[in-house]
Amino acid sequence: MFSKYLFNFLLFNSLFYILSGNLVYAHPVAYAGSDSIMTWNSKEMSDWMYTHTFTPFYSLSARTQRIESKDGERRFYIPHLNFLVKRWNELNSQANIYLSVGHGGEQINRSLKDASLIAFETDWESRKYYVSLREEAILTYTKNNKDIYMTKVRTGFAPYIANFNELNSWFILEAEKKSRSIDNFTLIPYVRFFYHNVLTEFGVSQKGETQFNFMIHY
Amino acid sequence: MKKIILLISLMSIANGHAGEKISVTVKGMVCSFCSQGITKKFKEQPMIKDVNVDLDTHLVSLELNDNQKINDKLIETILKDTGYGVEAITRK
Repeated sequence: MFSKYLFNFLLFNSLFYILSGNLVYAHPVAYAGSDSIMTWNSKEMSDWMYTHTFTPFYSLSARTQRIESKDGERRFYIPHLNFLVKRWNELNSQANIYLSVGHGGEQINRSLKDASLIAFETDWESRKYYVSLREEAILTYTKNNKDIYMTKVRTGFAPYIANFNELNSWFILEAEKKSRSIDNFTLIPYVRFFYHNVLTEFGVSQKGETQFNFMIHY
Repeated sequence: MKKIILLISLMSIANGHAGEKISVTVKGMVCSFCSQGITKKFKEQPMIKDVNVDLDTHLVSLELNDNQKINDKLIETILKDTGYGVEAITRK
């Protein structure tokens, strides 16, 4: 199972490198002392995460996920640590590599069974373009292997260049491949708006299902 | 004549006490959502009167309270804590 996942991972990423020439990502580690609330919601999943960043290099997240899968509705409660592995700051761009690891549980009936999370993220962004990649695995240690593997690739551009105190708008295309999902592959175009410390995204998948994401940090 | 000298002296004193202005060229500052921590962290410092961020010029402009100072090392530390790098610091 893992070797198949590794093969898919390498294939998917190779295609992505060829198509975009760049990498992508989000920011699970923010500035020292900050807190953030992030949520991603659609018919097939809801994901809520509270994160406290201790230093510019690591943060701790409390997270709850509901995923509609081939195995029915699944709920995970997995706190995880996020590490900024490497950052490249340039005058006109920034690139990052993050790693997340955590252990918690999956709610089965009324008890929690062991579940772990491992994620790798990378991104590159300028004021005009943005690309990101996230690899995430949720391991459940059950006999009938129900581990979830997810690859998410995003690329976007800003139709205009906004300054610090202006409303920023972005068009983003997201491709997601997830094992044990009802839809193995989804493609979602988004519009993203952010103003000061609040960010929202609205998207519609190729099947017409809506997606709403929200983020605030303070 | 005494009045002119007094006036000039008073103006000199006033200028001497005016808050220093510092321009910091910052690396990696490309996203306003991610850069909010810069203004927050600088405003926590008692010597800071005002902070302005300009993504077009990559500049963080600091205005200090009268008779206050901030050294380059502290500026670099604050920007490092918010995840950014310093290209140059210019004082006026």
